[in-house]
Amino acid sequence: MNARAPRIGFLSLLLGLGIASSAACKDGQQPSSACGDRAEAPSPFADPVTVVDRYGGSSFSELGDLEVDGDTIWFCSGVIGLNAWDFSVPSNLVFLDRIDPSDGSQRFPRCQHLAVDAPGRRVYATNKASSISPQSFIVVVDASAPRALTEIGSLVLPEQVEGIAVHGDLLLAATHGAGLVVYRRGAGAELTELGRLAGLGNVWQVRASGSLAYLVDSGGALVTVDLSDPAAPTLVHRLDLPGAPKDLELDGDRAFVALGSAGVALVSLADPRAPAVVEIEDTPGSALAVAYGAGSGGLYVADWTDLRVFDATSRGAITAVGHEPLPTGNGGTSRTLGVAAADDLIFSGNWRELVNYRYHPDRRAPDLDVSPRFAALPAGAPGDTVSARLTVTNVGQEPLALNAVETSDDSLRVDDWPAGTALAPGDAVRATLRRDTPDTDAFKGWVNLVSDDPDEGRRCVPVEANQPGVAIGQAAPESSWIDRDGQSLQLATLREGGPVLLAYFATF
Amino acid sequence: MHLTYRDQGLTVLGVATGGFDESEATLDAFAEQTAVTFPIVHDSATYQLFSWPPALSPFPRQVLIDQDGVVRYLASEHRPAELDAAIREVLGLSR
Repeated sequence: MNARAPRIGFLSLLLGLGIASSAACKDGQQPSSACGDRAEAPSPFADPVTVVDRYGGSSFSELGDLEVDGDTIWFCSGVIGLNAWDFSVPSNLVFLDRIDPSDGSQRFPRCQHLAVDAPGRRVYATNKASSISPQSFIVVVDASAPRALTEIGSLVLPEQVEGIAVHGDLLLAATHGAGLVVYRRGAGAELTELGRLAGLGNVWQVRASGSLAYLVDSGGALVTVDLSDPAAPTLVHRLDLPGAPKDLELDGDRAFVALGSAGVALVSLADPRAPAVVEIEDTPGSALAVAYGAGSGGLYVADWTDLRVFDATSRGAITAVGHEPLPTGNGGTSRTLGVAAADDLIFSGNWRELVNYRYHPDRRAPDLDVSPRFAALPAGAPGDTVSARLTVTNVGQEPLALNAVETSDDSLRVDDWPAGTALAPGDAVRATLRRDTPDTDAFKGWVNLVSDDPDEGRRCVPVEANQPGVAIGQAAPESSWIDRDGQSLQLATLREGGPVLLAYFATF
Repeated sequence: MHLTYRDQGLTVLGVATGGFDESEATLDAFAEQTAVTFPIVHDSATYQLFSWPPALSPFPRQVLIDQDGVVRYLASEHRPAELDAAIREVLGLSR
């Protein structure tokens, strides 16, 4: 099975050459509001993070965990199983094969995490039977012929398995509820449980070095376990961390931990049995995965909707370099769940495509990040002036020159925009987007923030107002609910004590 | 977010709309695995009433309602920094 997925040509070519292309609203913007079709905004800087190649399509793929093995990039997809691509020519990703693991019971192939045993030419992949089913299984794939992947066995587990790691002849599994489970890897698909250590919370990822394993507990901790006796793993240390840790990567005497909404942490393993936090860098999104490029010193973070790059060459600090919003292909927000690295090559993806980036550590540039990325203005009657705050942050390494603001029509303007000034790295400026409401019609427009950002010289912010439904500035419908303990809750009563946040969710 | 601002008066409700036929066991497992600290409720009606910004996925969605019952923040994607800023603004806290 050697299908070649459709290539996104022109835009990727421009981006790959590091040219700031602003001919249309950059991928990742909300397509329902057409962004201005303008000429390029040239920059004196070269982009430190460039797109090398990308493959995507209209199908929903839900890229998750990724791992590099030689010139092969492996990734798990929640929809299309375990995938292998060749990147020996980074600008020409070549599809090798795909396998939808199953145990013969017609389970949905929700490949979640993977671990590559390069010497043994095997890949282990975890899967779930359904969205949040407590039962999951580990599939063993013969990868000796990457263009003809073969499932050679599976192990059904009562626990929900998350991250896994190959460590010598061991397979380590991070599970919800059962903690760390240690298997001996035998010939073929043989996996023999040796021991386990429970009581670690909801552990999401495991990595090992020597006789120690490190796991992240989403309850807020980095856990150190002694594997000297694999049949009796023992807890050594627990380091409290903020946020909801989901991933980690080791680099000798240090570790990088993705902390969810708390950002990313640099942890010292100078004393490997007593890790200590060195630094925490916040990220605007939710840091779900990390990868480190040893040759480039780049730390790469899957930050919910963006890829974020940090300079980690200093052993004692990590410094923001820039970000890349992951494109959505068919529009809407993306979901960036995984990242992998081969030195200066970065692999990430979203729901629709795999993207290969290159980090250029010799380049320094400004990087404009704007919040919100989509401006939903309050509802307004004719004659009303409605407003929303825009915050622009320079997440790059050089001063960001703020130039003009362009708008889709005369009803929009941006006040307090410091045109002609430079924003220092790490600094932010707040401006106010205003609209003089002419009528009650549903409105869709845009503003372009013009700067010398080499990647997004015209950063488009789609704007909507007076859309159907309850909008910002309008009264929320009074509601009542019954919680899972049978308690009655009413919005009117709840808001007497303060604001109420309704967080609509699904469990997939 | 809930733990950060709970003592300052923020109430958080996790709202399951049932759009994906999630069972009670599924919700229980989800609550346990994610260690949520706030109530989870079922509500398939109010989701349809808001003017959501366009997004590829129907979830997560967030609505922040102030003490006067006015919508102050609407999001079709989880952006912690933006949500935090909105909460702080409604609570009258400095940035």
